[in-house]
Amino acid sequence: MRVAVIGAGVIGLSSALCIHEQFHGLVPSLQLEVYADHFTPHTTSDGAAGLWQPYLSDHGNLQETLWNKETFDYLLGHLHSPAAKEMGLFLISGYNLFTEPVPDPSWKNIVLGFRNLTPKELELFPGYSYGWFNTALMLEGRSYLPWLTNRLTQRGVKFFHKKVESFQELFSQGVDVVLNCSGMRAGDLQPDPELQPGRGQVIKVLAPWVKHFIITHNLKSGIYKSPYIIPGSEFTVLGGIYQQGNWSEENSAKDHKSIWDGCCRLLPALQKAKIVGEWSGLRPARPSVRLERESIRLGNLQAEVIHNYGHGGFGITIHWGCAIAAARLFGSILQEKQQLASPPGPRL
Amino acid sequence: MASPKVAVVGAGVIGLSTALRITETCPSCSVTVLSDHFSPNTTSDVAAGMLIPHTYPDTPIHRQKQWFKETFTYLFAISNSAEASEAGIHLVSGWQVFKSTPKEELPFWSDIVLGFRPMSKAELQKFPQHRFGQAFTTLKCDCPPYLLWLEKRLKASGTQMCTRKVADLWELHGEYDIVVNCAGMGAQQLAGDKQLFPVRGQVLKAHAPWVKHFIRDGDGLTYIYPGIHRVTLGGTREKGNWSLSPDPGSTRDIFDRCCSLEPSLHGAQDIDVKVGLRPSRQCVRVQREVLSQGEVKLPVIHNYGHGAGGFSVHRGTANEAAHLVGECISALQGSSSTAKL
Repeated sequence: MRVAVIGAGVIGLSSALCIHEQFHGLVPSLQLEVYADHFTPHTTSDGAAGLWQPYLSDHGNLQETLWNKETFDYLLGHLHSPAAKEMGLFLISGYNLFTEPVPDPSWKNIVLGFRNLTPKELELFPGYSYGWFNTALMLEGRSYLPWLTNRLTQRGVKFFHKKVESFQELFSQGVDVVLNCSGMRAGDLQPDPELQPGRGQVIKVLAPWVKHFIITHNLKSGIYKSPYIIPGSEFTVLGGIYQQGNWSEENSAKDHKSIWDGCCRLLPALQKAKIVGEWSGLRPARPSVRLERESIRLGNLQAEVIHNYGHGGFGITIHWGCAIAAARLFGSILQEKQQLASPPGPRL
Repeated sequence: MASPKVAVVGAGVIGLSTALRITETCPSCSVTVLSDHFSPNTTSDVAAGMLIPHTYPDTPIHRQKQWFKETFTYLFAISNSAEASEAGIHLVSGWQVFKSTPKEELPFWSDIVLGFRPMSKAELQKFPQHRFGQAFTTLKCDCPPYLLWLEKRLKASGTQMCTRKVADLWELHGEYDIVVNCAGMGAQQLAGDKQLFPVRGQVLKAHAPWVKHFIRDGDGLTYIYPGIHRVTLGGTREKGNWSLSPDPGSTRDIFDRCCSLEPSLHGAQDIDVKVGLRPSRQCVRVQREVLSQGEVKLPVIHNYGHGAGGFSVHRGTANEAAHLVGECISALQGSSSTAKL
């Protein structure tokens, strides 16, 4: 049973790990392969700051809220494990700032210690009159992806550095199931007008005195279009760019200025911070995550594809819940192919 | 007296902040800081500089609260300014956890720090050995940056800094009109104060930049305070121990206790061991005294004995000490201009 995962970002690697963990014992012939044109540190996931935080509203998409919760709880459970440092996993607290009162987010009970900001705290942020404080998690892609890669390599999963041009290409080589975790480039494999780039740009600075994330919101402009500051373990990420439909991965001077001015206004001490890098990436944005099976007829063969892409700016936030769901779909494929007597138990 | 000459003895956080306050309240004063040690070799450099007050048994609570409030307000403004990183002042959030519920559920300073509240059950799950906790956000003064920033501001206002070991406060009577004694542990000798005693503290300074929160056990003995570049892991409280040499057994013990609060510390690197003697007293001595020999008088303002709480109240006691200096100057100017000094 050959399973090919397309994509080696956080979605591809975590889906591969979840499937291998669930099924390698049950399906002795299981052979997992990861195909990607970019591996860490060159994936979209590597550029993200790594903060676990969903968008403000789930737009009634309860499924995504549940996947977010599963991910948070899973990561929280690993916080005290010896692997945490290697995974790039740690707790972080911080501020979400608004210019007007807003309803509480879907994730208020998922994070720890969620509360409104006090008047004194709001004095720190002139121009903002309302906000939240909570404790969440950081999962840095630059550490997490190598950690996932190591776990997969230990399990005998093979990696192939190549750009897959079509699902057909893999099926004709004898692959039984394809996991499509191709993120932004899913459209190259199968047109999807709902998948659009949400271009982001970030400036990386050395500002080790900043211990909190600070995320401002402009409800009229939309998510990630307002300055944010996210301190990592080595450097701090400054951002605030979201350009729907912009495919450019080149850094823009105009965006640089917008980020820099916005963040320095938030935290005046940043003016003294040393800039150590800049990066642009494309959030694979979609009205909802595409996580579903598709059966493709190829001659007299029925080929199975599990799609798992379109996680926008919350891939890290939702990844494990989606990996579990993808594994569940894989389980039902195995059942149909009579590779499994019955679906695996409560572990899922 | 056109330009009163003020000597401040001591260049830790108390000496420097008091000197600075004097230059602010008495611009005509000529201030000199005298100390055998300057940053990075002061007791203040060993401390983490967390704004979490220590309770002095014999100082009225309202006075301690006032000192803390003034200090917090002062540093809050700096943390919010462009100077924050240079001054080493930053906000930090975290938890104070207790193995058994404390008698006092609300410390006197709970309304001064930010966002003070009890920890939720979910938050307490991170601390399986502890039953109760408080979450809040406070400030940290990183040293050496904070002391160096104070020195820079002092120099800009014309204050002289001199490396000099003062053996006896009286030796300053010819050169200075007023002496401010911020000598910390050194006041035991300088002021002959037997109520002052060292409480030895050993700490580790480690590289663990993923630790973004402070964690403090309510017993005050075990704590993790993340600074700009290093995390301070503590500690010990050894009353009457004058030894400044690191003790390897304590190092091991501190590390183990901190790792049990924060397991990820096992991955900490570049661990340095430091020792400081908290200049401890039942109450902080902020008080005027006039030394005299014959007709010659030397006004002394004492500002020492801050023990474990120096950073938390430093600006407040500096304000008080500077106020006493002001009173001294008025008294000196009030007496005959043919000075009886």
